[in-house]
Amino acid sequence: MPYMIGGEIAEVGAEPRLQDGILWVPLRKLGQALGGNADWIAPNQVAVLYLNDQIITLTIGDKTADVDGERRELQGAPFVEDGETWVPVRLFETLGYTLEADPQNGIVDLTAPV
Amino acid sequence: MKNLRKWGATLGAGVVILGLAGCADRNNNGQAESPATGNEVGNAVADNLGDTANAVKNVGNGIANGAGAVANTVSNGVGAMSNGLSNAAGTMASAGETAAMTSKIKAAIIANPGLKGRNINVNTMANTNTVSLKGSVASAAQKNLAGSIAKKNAPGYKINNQLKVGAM
Repeated sequence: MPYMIGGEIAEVGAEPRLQDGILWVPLRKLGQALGGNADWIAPNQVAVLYLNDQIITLTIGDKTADVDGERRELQGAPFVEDGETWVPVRLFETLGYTLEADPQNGIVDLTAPV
Repeated sequence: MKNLRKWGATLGAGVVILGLAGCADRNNNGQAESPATGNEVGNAVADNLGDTANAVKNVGNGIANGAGAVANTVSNGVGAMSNGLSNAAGTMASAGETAAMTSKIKAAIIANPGLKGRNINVNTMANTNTVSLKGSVASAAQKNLAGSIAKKNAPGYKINNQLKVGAM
């Protein structure tokens, strides 16, 4: 069980993956586990995450995320695999979450912003 | 005012003196009474002077009341004009605010990567606290995104999302 949310073990449905020194997580599945919602805009190759009253827009292949109109730099550019958009786990730190991660063992512990 | 009082008093006193000096039938019994004494004349004059003074005073009060009424009317008129101007200024400020909000929402929509290439019309109506979105988008996801962006940038406003979803 690699995910913990607020200290509680959470079932997300896809394990985090370590790739090129970056820990990647599934955007939609983890976003939903955190209480958010995700959308996919195919013509623009854009994934949208609605979480904690924030609107996060990510473009496949672009290392810059749009968070409520503000540009945020990501560790790596999101990609699509197995029908899921993968993003660096540190994106959630940008959104105010406290992150404790063990990349070697693929463990992700996220605590919601206060 | 001083002169009026003076003449009134003089006239009044004169009438009293003449009346009392003659042998008038004061008690209407058909017989003339003896001329009034000095004290009686003096008292009558004093009374008349007092009445005259009161009459003059009443006239003065009437003038003062009239002046006060005029002053109140002018004051109310000025107040009404001031309120009218203030309301007009407020309406102009509100129109400016809605224009600014429309621009802000439109800019946020244009800048979002998920809505690039979409022509979305934004209209803000302050009198109904409503933001309307009109135009065409490719998917429900884009319609949701535009609506969410509008809502984020127009706190307290109702979003009337009339975007049509269809092939572009």
